[in-house]
Amino acid sequence: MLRIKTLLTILTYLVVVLGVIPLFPWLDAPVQFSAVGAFCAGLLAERRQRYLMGPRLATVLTCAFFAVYLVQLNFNNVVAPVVNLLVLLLSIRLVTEKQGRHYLQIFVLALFCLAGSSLLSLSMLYLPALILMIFGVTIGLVLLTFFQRDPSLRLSRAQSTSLLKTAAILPTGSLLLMLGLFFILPRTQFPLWNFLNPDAAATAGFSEQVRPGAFVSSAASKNMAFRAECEEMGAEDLYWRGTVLNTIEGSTWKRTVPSQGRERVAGGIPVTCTITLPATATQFLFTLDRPVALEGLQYQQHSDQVFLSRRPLRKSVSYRCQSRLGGALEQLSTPDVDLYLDVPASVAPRVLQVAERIRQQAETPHQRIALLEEFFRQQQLNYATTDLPGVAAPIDEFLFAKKRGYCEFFASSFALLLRLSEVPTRLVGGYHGGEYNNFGGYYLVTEDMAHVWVEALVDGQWQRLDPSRLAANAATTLLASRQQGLSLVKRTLDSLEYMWTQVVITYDLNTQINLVRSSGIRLKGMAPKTTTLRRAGLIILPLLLGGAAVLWWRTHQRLTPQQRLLQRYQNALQQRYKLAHIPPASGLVELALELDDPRCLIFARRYSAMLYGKHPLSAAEFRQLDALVAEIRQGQDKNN
Amino acid sequence: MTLLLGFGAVNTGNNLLYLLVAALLGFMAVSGLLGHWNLKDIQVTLEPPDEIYAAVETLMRVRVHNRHRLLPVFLLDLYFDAQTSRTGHLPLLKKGERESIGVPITFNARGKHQHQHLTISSAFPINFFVRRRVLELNQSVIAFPRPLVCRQPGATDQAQRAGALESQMKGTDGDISRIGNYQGTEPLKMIHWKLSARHDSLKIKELSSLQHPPVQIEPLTLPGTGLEQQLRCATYLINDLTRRNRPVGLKLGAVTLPPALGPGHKLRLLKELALYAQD
Repeated sequence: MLRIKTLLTILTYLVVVLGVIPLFPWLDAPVQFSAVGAFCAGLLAERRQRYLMGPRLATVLTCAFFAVYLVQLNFNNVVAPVVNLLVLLLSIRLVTEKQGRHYLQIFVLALFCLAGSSLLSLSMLYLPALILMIFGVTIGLVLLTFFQRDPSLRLSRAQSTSLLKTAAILPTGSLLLMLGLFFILPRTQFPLWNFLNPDAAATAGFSEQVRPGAFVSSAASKNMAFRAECEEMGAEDLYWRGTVLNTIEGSTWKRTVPSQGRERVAGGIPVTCTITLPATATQFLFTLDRPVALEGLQYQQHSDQVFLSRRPLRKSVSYRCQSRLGGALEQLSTPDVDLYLDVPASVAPRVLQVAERIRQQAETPHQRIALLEEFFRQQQLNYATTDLPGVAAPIDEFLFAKKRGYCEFFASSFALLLRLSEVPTRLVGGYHGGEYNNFGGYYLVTEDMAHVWVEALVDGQWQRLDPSRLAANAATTLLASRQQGLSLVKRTLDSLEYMWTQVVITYDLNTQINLVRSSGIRLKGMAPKTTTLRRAGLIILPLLLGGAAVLWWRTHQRLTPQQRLLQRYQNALQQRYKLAHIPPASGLVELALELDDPRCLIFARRYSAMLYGKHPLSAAEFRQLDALVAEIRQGQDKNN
Repeated sequence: MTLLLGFGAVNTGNNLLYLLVAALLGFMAVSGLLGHWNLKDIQVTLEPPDEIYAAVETLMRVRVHNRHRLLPVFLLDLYFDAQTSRTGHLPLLKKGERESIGVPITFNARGKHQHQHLTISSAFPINFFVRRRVLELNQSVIAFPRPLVCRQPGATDQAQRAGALESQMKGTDGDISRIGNYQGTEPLKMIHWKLSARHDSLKIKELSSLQHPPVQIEPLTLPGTGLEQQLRCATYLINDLTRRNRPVGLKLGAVTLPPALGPGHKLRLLKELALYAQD
C-alpha cells in the first residue's frame, strides 16, 4: 500500500527542483546556499516528521525577506530581487510542516520561479523544465485533492497506477493544447514591460569600429552570431555583410553614414536567406554579400548596402534577405571620393614609401591593387591571433616587424595603402564562413568568424578584396578555422536550438498576422475542385463506412441475440411513444403497463420469463417477438 | 495565477511566459473535461433495505456502476439531501466495475416514493471546483409510517396474557390432553406411573402447549389525533408484537390480513399501512 502523502511529497520536491534549477545561476550566493540547505533539511524533516521551523518563525522570516528585497527593488533591477525572494519563500515553506494549502503554495512558488527564469534566460532548456514542471504540478494537484480528502489515505499499487495513469491525461492534454494556444494567444506590437526581458548580450567578435593593435590577442568566442537558412554554398561566397567603415581617425576605422552616391547590385546569382539574429546590442542586420533587399522587419537601408533595424534588437528576430551571389556593386552616382581617400595625418614612413612606389609603378586601380597584393605576398604575413602588433604603430609593425595579425590588421593596412595609392577604399565589417547544418539546412555563424575585408572602387564598381587571403598561412588558419565540422551531437543540438528560436523565441505579432494570412491564402488555394472533391470522397467515404462498420461490429459483438432483441424493443418504444430515455432501472412489465399497450405487455412478460430462466426462447418465439417489435415500431393500432 | 502570468506575458512579449500561460490554460481546459468525464457514464441503482420508516434516517445501499470504457472514476460523494453532511464516499471505482455504498436517506412521508434525486459530486481532478450531477432515479421505494409508541387497549393486554390460548400442538406447560405410550425420548417427569403400573408398559402424560393469543390490529381504532398517528401507532404495535413472537393481523379498511408470524408477514402489514389512503 502506498501512502498518498508519500507520492505527494516526492512530486513536491521534484517540482521544487524543476522550479529552482533554471534560476540557480542567477541567484545570490546566500540564497543558493539557503535553497540547497532547505531542500536537504526539508527532505530530512519529512523523513523524521520533525520540522525545523514553526509557523511563527516562518512568518517573521518571510516578512524580513520581503523587507530586504523590496529595498533592492527599482526600475532597473526588478527581476533579480523578485526571483531571490521567490526562492527564499520556497525554502521557508520546505522546512515547515505542510498541510494541503502549503503544498499548493509550493507548487505556485515553483511555477513562478520557472516563470522568473524566462526573464533571465531564453535557453532551450526551459522547454524540458516546463514539460516536467507541468507533469509534476498537475499530477501533484490531483494527489493533493486526494490528500485533502483524507491525509491518511493509502492506495494499493494497482489503485496508485490507475490514479497516476488517469492523472497523466492532465499534463499530456495540457501540453498538447499548449502547442495550439501558444500560437493564438494575443500579442502586442510594443510590450510595455520589455525592460524585464533578458538583456541582449554584447557581440564579442563583430564590432562597429576597427582599431588594430587595441588587443595583444584576440579570442573571440564560439557563441552564435546568427543563423542563416539557405542552400549550401561555396566557402569563398560566405561573406556576411554587417557594416561599412569609411572614416579613418588615427588608426581607428569608423562609420560615417554616406550622404551621397547611390549604389546598386547588378548581376550575380539570386539567393534568399532567412537570417535569425539573437538579441544584440547593435542594430546592424547581417546580410549575405551582396544584399539587395530585406523582408520581415522594418529596416533602414544606407546607400553602401548597410541595413539597420528601425527598432532595438532586444529580442531575437528573423528576416529574409535577398542577395546576389557574385553580383557587382555598381556606383550609380558620384560618391564622396574625399571620404574614401582620406588618410590619417601621420602615417609611418615605410608605409608611405610602399604606397608611393605602387602609385608610381601602376596607373590604373587594377594594377595598383595587383601590386599591393604582390607586396602582401612578398612580406610573408601570417594570420595569427596572438602576439599581435601594439597600438602605437600597428600597421607599420604588422607589415614590417611582427608580420602577424588577424583580419583587422590585414584589411586596415591594405585599405590604408590603397587610399595612399589614390584608390577609393572602405572596410566592410561582418562575418566570413559558416558551419552548414544539414539537419536544419542553415549556416551557423559564430562570433569567432567575425571578419573585416576591403572594398575598393574600381571602374565604378565596389570590388571585394580580402587581404587576409594573402596571408602565407591562409589555407591552414583562416579558412580552416572557419570550417571545422561540428560533431553530430552538436549539430543536432544546434538544430534543436535553431528550431526553438524560430518557432518560439522569434514568434511575435507580425509572425502571428503572417500566419493568419498564409492560412487564409492556403484555404483559398484549397478552393473546391470537382475532381479534388471526388478524389477526397473516394478516400473519405470508404474510411467513414469502414469506421461505422467497425463501430457497429464492436457494439453488437458484446451483445447476445436476446440483448439485441431487447435493444430493438427499447428503440421501438422510444420511436413509437416518443420516449426521451428509458430508465435502466425500470422494469419491462411496469413500463408496458404504463404504456397500456398489449403488445408491449406480451413482449415484456415473455422476455421476463426468459430472463429469469423459466422459459428459454425458442427460435419460433424469438421470431414472434421480433415481429412484435416490428409492429410496435411501425405504430400499428393497439387493438389490431 | 494564470491571469497574472498572462498579464506578464502580454506586457513583456516574452514567449517563454506565453508557453507557460498556454500550458496553464490547457490545464484548465483538460481538468474541466476530466472532471466532466468523471461524473459521466455512471449508472446508479438503489438497493433499499427491507424496512424504511418515514422521517427516520436510513442507510440506503446505492450500487454504482462505472460504465466508462477507459477511465476509472475517482472521489465520488453521493447524497440524497443537499443539507446533510453525511455522504457516501467512493474513492476509486475502476472501469466497468460495480460497488455498493451506504448513503443516508430520510423520507419525509410514508408511502411509495417513485422518484429519488441522488446527487453525485466529485472534486476530482483538482480541488478548486466541486462538480455535481443530479440523477433522478425512477425506482419505487416504500417508506413505512414512523413508529409511535402506544398501546392498544385489549389487544396488548390480551397478548400479554401468556397461556391464554391452548394450541393443538404438544407442549410442556398446558393441561393433559391425552395419555400416550413412552417413546424413549420424553422426559421422565412425564411418565404416569400409576397407569404404567396398570398396563405393564410405560405411559406418559401428553400436555398441550400454551400459545400467545393472536392480535388483530385495527389502526383506525387506535388512539391518536389523526390517521397518521394511528398508522404510526399500528406500526409500533406490529413491530413490537412481532418482536415478541406474537401473531399479528391487520384490519384496515377493506383489507383484512389474518394474524400470522414471520418477517414476510410483518412487511406485508407495514406495506399496507404505508400505502393506506395514498390514492
